Amino acid sequence: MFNHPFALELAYIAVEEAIRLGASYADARYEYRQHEDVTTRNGALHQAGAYTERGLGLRVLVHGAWGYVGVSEPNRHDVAVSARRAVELARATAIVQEHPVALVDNAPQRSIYRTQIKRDPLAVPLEDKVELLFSIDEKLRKNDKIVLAEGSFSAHRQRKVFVSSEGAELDQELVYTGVGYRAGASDGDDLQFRSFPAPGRGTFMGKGWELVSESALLDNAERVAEEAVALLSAEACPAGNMALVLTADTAAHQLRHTCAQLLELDRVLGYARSESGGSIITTDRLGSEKFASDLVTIYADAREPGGAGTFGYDDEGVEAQRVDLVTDGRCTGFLSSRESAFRVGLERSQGSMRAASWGHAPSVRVTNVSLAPGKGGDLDAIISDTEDGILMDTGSSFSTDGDGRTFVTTTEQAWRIKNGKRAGLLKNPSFSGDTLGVWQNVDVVGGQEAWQFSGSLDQTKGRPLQIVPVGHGAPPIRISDVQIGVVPAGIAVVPNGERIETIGGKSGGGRRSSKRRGGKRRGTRKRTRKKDTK
Amino acid sequence: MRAKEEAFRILEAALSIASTGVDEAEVSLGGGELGMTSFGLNQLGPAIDHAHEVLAIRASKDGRMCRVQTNDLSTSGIKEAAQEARTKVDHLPAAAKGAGLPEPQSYELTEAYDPETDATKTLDRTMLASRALMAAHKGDLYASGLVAVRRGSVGLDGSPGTYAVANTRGLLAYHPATRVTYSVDMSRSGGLNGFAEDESYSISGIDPQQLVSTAVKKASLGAEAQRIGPGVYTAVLEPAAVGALMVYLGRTAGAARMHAGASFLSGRIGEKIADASVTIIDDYAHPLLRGTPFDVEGVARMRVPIIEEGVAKGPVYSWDSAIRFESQATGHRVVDPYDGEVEHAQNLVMSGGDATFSDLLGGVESGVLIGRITNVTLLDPRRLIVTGMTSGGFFLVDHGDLTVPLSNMRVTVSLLDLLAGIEGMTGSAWAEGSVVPALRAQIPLT
Repeated sequence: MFNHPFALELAYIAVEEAIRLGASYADARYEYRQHEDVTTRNGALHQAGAYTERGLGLRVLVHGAWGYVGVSEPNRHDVAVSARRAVELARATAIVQEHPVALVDNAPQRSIYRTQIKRDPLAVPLEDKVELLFSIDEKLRKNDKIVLAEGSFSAHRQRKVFVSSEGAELDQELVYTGVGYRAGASDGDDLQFRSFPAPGRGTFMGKGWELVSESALLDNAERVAEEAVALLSAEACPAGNMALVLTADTAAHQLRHTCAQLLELDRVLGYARSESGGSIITTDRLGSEKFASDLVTIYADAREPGGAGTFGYDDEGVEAQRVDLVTDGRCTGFLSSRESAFRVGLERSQGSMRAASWGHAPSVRVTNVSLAPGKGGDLDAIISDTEDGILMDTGSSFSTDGDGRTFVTTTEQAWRIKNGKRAGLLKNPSFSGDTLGVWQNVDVVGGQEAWQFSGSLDQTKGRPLQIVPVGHGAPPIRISDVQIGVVPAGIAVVPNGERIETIGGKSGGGRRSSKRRGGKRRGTRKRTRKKDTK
Repeated sequence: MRAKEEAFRILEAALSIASTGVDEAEVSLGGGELGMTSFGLNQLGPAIDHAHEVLAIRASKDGRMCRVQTNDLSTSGIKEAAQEARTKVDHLPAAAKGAGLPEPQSYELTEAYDPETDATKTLDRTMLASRALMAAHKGDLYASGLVAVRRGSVGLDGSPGTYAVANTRGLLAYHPATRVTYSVDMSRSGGLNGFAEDESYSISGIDPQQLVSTAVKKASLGAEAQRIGPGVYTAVLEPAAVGALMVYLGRTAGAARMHAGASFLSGRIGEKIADASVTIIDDYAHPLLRGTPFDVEGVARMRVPIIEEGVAKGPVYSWDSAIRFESQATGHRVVDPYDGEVEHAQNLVMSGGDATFSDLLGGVESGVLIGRITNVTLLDPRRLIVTGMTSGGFFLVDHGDLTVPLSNMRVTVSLLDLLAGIEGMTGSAWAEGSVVPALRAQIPLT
């Protein structure tokens, strides 16, 4: 059980003791976390578990250096000892700290926040969850080509009490629910997957049990299985440069993995390089340099109802807010902390400090990052507007380089688009490119009617690894001149080293221009609605 | 991490509470202490101390089983968790039957605990980190990296793991461990960087100066990275690059995946799938790994040949899948931060060859050296196609000499193709959690 007065008392003891020992700033976060996981696989209960933990994380600043201690199941004595330990850690770090840490002023908050849910997912009986997944499993495995059926449900509750030496006192309760399944079909040689509503552990949102009924899980199970089987006899996705249409959830997948993280200010500044990588974005780009095409507007909003990245206050006590990250293609903001905001001269933090638990120091993280709807209509309108291209659906994996300069994305299924119509199912689809080039080639952004908002629990950062839930909304989009296929056709027959060349070399290979110089973009039809392309 | 006697005392008390009102029960302890000092762009990040210990209870009734985990190790906390486990198992439908708990096991213990490492202080970590920072200043470079010291079963990913297990069938297991990780990446403006990392159960097994020197040397080779066009290149892969690619071989080597057709082993046991020089086993006891001799449910880990002299030998089994597929359990049920409870081979050891690193480079008339591959993703589990980016030392090789640093490129390769076409290997070394050699092969780069 959670004892709020006790949690508050411990947080105050920790902060006051740290200040008494010489810290110039301290904040303490007491968390009570509950988590339930149920998974099924091929008709069997694979995992049924419940997890409960309490802990306190104390962050102190001494001589401009941070110290962080996470203490499990603490009592009054433990937190006083932790304060001493945290101050020692910071002092040891300060010995070799070249640039002292400083924080922007964000007014200390005293408030209460609760995720709005209709039904507590942790209070729903376990048998209801198991029976739901068994029913899905049965529908998936009706088809004898389905060799792997997996279902997953998870529910989380986090009660957080935050206190700072500046006077903040916050009490938050965040609730999340995740649910999904996938079907693997095989004919003995090939293996193809389809998932619903999203790959991995499914969709994950700041909602209660109502997410289950909203997701129409059972209604879609047989279709999902049939789609997996159909992929076995589908043609392989061709390689080459052409127009690419992404469904709304695939556009959100692309946004999450090739854009959102690049706008975390600690990555941009390079401080997160060892743990998480850097960013191709620089602070010089703010307000001026192009990140994407004029049609692209991207924002973070930690207040979005139902979002997996929704909260009242971040993990250094800053109020949740909306940040315009990319406006009409230009970079206009960053996800920030009080420290990183100070380093780049911002007046205040945008409230994006998040920790996976009390045991982890917070870092700058994605909240709910969304692509604003455009005027391109729904998916059917975008397809009918495309002369020749590929439609990809359900982003399944991605890989970027350390700075997010380039990427590869794979999806579960695709279709050829010919003369404005879906021409045939394709399997093993993938596309790749340089991140900025691809975002700059977005030539249609779907409208509000096709905009979808979802979330996931797969956003990782740091060592020790921190996984936090993030939300993402997007409409379907079209991108011109995209490299379809991971490996360009013909590359496998190039003999040993023959094509080695350096920049400015005579021919072949090398960098592909991300922008066409003029004329009609490959694979797209002439737009009949001029307003769609601004 | 608690001493053996104290851990067993807690397990005994917890088992007594947890076994009331159910048919069978299992209790386990996991976690420990993680101390980490990280640095980026020549600045120290927050110094972190994280102490986290969890008690897990698995209750079994009529073949149905569920797990409840808590970090409240007081008697009342254990009683609360045991009550929750009883309630949950009662609410499981009759169809949710599992394989039951493992029988008592005998373990081949590894020496994985070092008192000197256990006694490491924060200031020691700061001093180790400062070696990289000083070298960076001297060489006009930017240092990023970390020094991490772990006690117990806590992973570098923060997951608690398991260091002690007991169940009502009489199984009892305990494994103390310490672990040190030193990782350094030196970079200079223009994007060049050099990476070096090592890990050991003992702080004396790490040579920070050597690691820093290696990273500095790589970052200092040439001023400006050049580009090469896409193609298939003769490449020398350092152990860090090989280790990163191997991760997915371990993640797809579980029996459940294999029987579902989702593994490179599916339908291929006994077939030749790699060059005859390739032998890969999962060996927790290897001196460079010194892993836990049991899995999350206390099943004894076995050395499992996965590929032997090029031939697919077999998957790794948990207790559950060993019963389901009528085979022997090999102790490979793990709790993955993403996927929950799964079968993974986490202690891969690839046998090396006789070549020296110079031999491998010397055999390259025109090609590349790949120091590290990051952001690796699995694209096809049956053909083991993975994709990732070169990083931490990527150079053009001309007649055996490193000539110019290169801009990073994407590696997309079938591991099976790679293992079938090895042109030479050095001896094996620790890298990315595995023990692997440097090797030379044909690698597609885009």
